[in-house]
Amino acid sequence: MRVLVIEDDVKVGRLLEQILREEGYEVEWAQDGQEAISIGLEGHYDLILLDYMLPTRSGPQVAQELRANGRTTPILMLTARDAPEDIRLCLSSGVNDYLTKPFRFDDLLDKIGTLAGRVSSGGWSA
Amino acid sequence: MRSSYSLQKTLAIRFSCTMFIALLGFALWAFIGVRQTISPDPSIQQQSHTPSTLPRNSAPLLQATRDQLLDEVNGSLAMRLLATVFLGTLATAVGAWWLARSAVTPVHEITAQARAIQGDAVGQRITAHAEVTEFQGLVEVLNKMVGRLERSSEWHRRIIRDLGHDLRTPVTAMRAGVEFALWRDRTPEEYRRILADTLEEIDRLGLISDALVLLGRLESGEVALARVEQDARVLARTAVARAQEGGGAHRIHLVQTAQPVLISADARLMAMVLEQLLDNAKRYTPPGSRVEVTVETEGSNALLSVDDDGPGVADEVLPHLFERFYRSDAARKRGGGPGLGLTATAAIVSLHGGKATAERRPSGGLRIRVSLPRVVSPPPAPSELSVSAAAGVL
Repeated sequence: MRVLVIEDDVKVGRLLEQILREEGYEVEWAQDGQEAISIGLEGHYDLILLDYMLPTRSGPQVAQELRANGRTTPILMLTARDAPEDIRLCLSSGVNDYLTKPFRFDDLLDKIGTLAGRVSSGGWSA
Repeated sequence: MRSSYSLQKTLAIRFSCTMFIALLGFALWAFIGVRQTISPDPSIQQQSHTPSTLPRNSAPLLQATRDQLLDEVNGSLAMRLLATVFLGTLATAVGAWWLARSAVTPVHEITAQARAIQGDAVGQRITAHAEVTEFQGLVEVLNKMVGRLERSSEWHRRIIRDLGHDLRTPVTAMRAGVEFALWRDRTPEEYRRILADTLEEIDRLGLISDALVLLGRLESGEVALARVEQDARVLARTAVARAQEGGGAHRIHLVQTAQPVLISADARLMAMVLEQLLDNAKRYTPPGSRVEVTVETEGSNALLSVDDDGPGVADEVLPHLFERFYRSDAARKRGGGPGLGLTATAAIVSLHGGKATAERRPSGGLRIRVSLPRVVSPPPAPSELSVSAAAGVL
């Protein structure tokens, strides 16, 4: 299963990449919003982990751009901003679910599993 | 402290008392006047008004009748005047109560509206009697106060929210690192790297707490300045050297005047200011960018500027740069401090009697200017001049 991690914090991004690889995922990592849009549009991924605050384009902007270009890949937003208006913005931008930072790896893997399960069972429509 | 009292009651009582005294005085004056009119001087009366046709012995009877009539008239007049006084006072009391009530009711209504304005309700203002000349000032002052409280409340909410976000970033990295270490057995190199990363994040948290403590001390006036007269060029030189030692691919240059630029400043705090400005310039510009520190004079002030050729900041961001916790979202994500650096900088500069400002450079990039009062050396005495000239200094 291919996962695109979009996270500009080098430490967090590197740890996510490693832990997901250890759990058997094929991972690609982007650190910039604009770069993430290009990669997301060019490649095929089963899941996108998207940080909220990114350089050049914010997480919600990246999600909107991907959706506007017909990408239905499930997106899990990782966010330190959990105010109701931030969450509304997240969900209205086309992301499927969100996880508040700091998070436990178990919770992250559960969310990924749930989203991936919906995709593989065909029960997902973005 | 004075105990509370009712203005309405006080006004009504005072007005009624005033009217009572006035009416009483008027009644006395009227009573005396009327009495004098109806009982003239007896000697004049005796000569001019005693009818000559009446028998001589009828005079005492006539006098007694007149006295009785006068007493009756006086009694009746006094009763009527007293009744007028009391009824007039009563009517005045009612009128005064109504008048006082109409005078203080707007105050009650303004108070009620002010009380109804809640902290969470944005944009609520007092509208009652705002058109009345006598209350315009009061309503305006109260509305301005509500506006200030509203902005302060919003500012506190934003600070708490932003501080939460700022703390979450290092905590997320630390938690992920420790969890990664515990997830399974790691190599010694991996453990070392995780510990080094965690240490960096702890330092970041330390920066946040240090900045908060410093800012708190600056704002509460707990920081005592150890002012020493010194050359701003030396301070700038030291700061630039430190920034260059700190590594990175930035090109840091110092431009300075030929003459000393003397300021009276706390060297430790001013070093923090310059360090912060250089740190900001390096953090928010791409590697390889040029950063220029300039020391010059501007009238009676010393001017220290830090220019960078980075992307600069948007016009709407400029006025907020020195606000506590203010960072644009883009800046926030580029790591570093919690947005307190420039606020602490401005507070330190202000403590020295100076001012910190930010502007966009015409060629792009950001310029932070720190203006401080310059110490102007008194011109040397003529005898010193001649000695210096003789020694070949001039």
